[in-house]
Amino acid sequence: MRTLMTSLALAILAGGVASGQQQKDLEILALVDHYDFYNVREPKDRSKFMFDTETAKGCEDILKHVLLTGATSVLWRPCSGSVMRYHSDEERFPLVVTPTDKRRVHQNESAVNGFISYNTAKIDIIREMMASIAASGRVPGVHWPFEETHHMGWTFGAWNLEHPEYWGVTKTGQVWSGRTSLAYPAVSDHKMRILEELLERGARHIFIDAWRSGSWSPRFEYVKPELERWKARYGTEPPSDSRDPVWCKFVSETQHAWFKRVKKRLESEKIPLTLGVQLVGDPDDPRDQTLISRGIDWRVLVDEGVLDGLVVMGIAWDVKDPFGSTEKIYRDIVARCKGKCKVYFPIQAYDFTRKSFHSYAKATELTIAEVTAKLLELTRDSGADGVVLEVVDYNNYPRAVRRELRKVSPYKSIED
Amino acid sequence: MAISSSVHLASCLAVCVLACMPAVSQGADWVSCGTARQLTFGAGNDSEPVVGPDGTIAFQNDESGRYVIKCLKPGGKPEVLVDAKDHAFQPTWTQDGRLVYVVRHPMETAAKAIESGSEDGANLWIRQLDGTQVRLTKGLWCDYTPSIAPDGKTVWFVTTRGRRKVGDGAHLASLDLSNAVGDVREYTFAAYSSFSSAASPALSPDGRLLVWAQVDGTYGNWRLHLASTSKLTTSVSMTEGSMSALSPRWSPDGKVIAFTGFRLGDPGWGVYVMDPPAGLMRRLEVGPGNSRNPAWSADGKRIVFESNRSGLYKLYEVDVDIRPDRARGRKATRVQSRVEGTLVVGELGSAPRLRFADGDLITAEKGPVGNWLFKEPKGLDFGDGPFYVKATFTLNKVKKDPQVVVGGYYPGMMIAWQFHTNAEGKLCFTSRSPEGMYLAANSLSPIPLDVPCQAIGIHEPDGTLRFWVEGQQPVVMHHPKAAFLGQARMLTIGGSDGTVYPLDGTVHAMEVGRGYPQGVEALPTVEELFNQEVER
Repeated sequence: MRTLMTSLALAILAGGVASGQQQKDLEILALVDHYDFYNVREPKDRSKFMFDTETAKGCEDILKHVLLTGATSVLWRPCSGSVMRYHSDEERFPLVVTPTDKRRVHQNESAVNGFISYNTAKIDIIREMMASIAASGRVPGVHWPFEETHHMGWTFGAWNLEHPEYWGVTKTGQVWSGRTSLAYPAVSDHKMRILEELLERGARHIFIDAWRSGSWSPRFEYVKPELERWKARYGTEPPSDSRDPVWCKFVSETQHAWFKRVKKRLESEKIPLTLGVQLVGDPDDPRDQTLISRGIDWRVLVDEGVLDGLVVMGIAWDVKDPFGSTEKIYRDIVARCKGKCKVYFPIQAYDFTRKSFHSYAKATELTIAEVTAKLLELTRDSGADGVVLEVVDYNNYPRAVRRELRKVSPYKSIED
Repeated sequence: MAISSSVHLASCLAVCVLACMPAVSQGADWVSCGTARQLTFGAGNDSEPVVGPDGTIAFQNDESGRYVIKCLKPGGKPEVLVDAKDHAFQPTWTQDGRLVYVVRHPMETAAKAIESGSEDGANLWIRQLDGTQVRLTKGLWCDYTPSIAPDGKTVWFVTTRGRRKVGDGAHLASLDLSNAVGDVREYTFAAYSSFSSAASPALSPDGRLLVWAQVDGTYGNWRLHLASTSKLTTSVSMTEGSMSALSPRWSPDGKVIAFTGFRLGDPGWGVYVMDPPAGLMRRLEVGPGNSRNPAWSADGKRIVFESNRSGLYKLYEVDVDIRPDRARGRKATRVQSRVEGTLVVGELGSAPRLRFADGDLITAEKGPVGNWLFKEPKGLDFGDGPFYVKATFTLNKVKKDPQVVVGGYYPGMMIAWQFHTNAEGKLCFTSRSPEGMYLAANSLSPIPLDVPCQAIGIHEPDGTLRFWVEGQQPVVMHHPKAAFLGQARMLTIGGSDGTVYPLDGTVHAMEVGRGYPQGVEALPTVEELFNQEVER
């Protein structure tokens, strides 16, 4: 399979890259949550699945579909929350198999009844896919959302469950397993060991998605080390409002220390560290979404040279002037980053924030392909380095959109 | 113990009700324990112990990379009791020495299992006295955490059968052990909705009460729930939402419950014991490391548990001396139910009014989107007590945006509570946590269009939301904690307090009050449930 992918890559490079000399191509980061493919049925036989996501073939087929977008980097999800999608030593104990650990709630998707088990699959999915992506000529990387908690079934990771002493705490003293705080050195070390597992499996781009992790919040940072640090600095109790910018800024110092640790680890191997942030409007707004809701100040990380790339997952564009407002925000962000890191802007397929290409299309009466073309043009004109596709599922970037994406990609001649 | 008339208050109609916050205290000297003794050694982790009537301990061990069930007879060495092709785990003894357990059947992949029509999921098995192993349930779902009823005839467990949506967890079930495969009775919570799950049901020794662990909502912790077996849909939380509590086991005399717990400040998981009617809870000092899954000896004088103090989880036992003291029984906080505000609908087009408990009336101001605003309404300062909202309204159209039927606004807290519709046409009842997060309960199906529909939402002090929508099953969501509500700033009808979320429809009637509305039972308290048991 991998040989086939290599041949495909060479063929594409031969035909594609050569034809893209007039304008500089854009980087296209494709985020992949391969779990999202589990329920795609064979059109001719609805009783069959198109992708068996626990197998090498299923994952390779997913990759082929993803590459139709012209992706230059494929960032594969290494975990669903703390349930790993590879044979992780960090998240293996106790045996994480439905339902041996009764504390873990099932992921009861109708099609698979909670039995998908990537961490115990016969293949090590991340190792397999990092190799396949590399063989295709793309940059293999991971799309790492830490403890992803928008479904509680994904909340209870094995390591978290073994270490309640590091759980997040709210201002009212509620402990919660969905989050372990980076304020504890043991948690920071645990995350670094996961990083090592990912690197050892071939990840050459570490993309940390601060947005997708709903638990990553100053709301859960009222932990002992942070309370003591606050008291030592201010001599008072911390603000009761976890969205207080002063508290969020304070919390961000701890988060940033971990990012710096990651950066230091990656630097010697020249592996890029990128951060995903959401709904950026005015980049100088002190109530920045990522700061207030995640306790991470991307501007500080950019200024201090910690990030190699800033992935803007969503733009707070104005429905009254969709492209004009987008253009301004793009230019402001690029200016704010001052060339200190790469910048990627979104081509969003999902409309959770009502800022996707569907919403642009609704606001402008253009087709989604036309919207995509315009956004790619704005991205290029702003001086940004590329775009991010969040996330590539089965045909959520339809053929016409994929065609527009490939026009700005080195991989122009892929047959779709 | 004498039963006060308060036992029957639960069925009285909103006269004088009990707040059900589980105000559990440490207590001083009602429980003590000795030094833990290690019972098992060697390779692999030993966990989920259960002690049989003859003192034999069954447990699971993962030395081979999959779980097998072993047993340890008093004075003996561990022996393998069940070695299935895949994981065999979570054992429980019957009174006559048979063993019920779970087998997670092998499958190549989940997709292949579905495509082949497999009925081999995680299912219950029984090991008979002669060593033969018989399957009790089948199906490509999970039946797990079994426990045997005191009469030995029934196994209680949780199951994911029928749970088909993202976030659907497991619900309670029971199986008559005299039957072979099938004939499972399922019990959905009143809380039945997405993002709820149960585990580890255990029946009290007299068979009248069921305790289990339940988790609700994305940010919830596992909590212990208690209900009468005659009414499993009405459960009360026995542990506060601020802690995590699992694996409850009744003491042989039915007076005390041991469980696995973690509270802020604990060094790790611990063995807790609780004397529910007395409101006492204590973490036993059983030694370092995580200590979990307590199991009582038949005489109630020892607790066996697993601990990782040596690196691997191994079994330990500890002598316990517990002196339940029902005389300490908590004094329940009584809240006087009262209608605080009633909507008085005006003539066609004229402004509605709001009548307060003292008879005063205020007239609404018209909002910018046809909504009505009652400013500075009296009597809606519910503090940390229960309150309710009751409304009858007609919805004309489902919209992508929420449509607010009625909402309460408080200083520093936008929309402290409300009824609103969502994009699916369901009705949602929301209130707030102390951190300002939304607590929500949604109707199970869309509400009908163009006809009046009545809904009642009750906000309990412990964060539980009870929600009835006419013609639908009730919904109960247990959230960790509820916000304190001072004096209200505004009450809105037919939209938010601004220019968004107008209702395309009509509000015919609305009532808001403290306590419970007429015709709705208060939740029983833990004390009432225990006392009812005693009375019978």
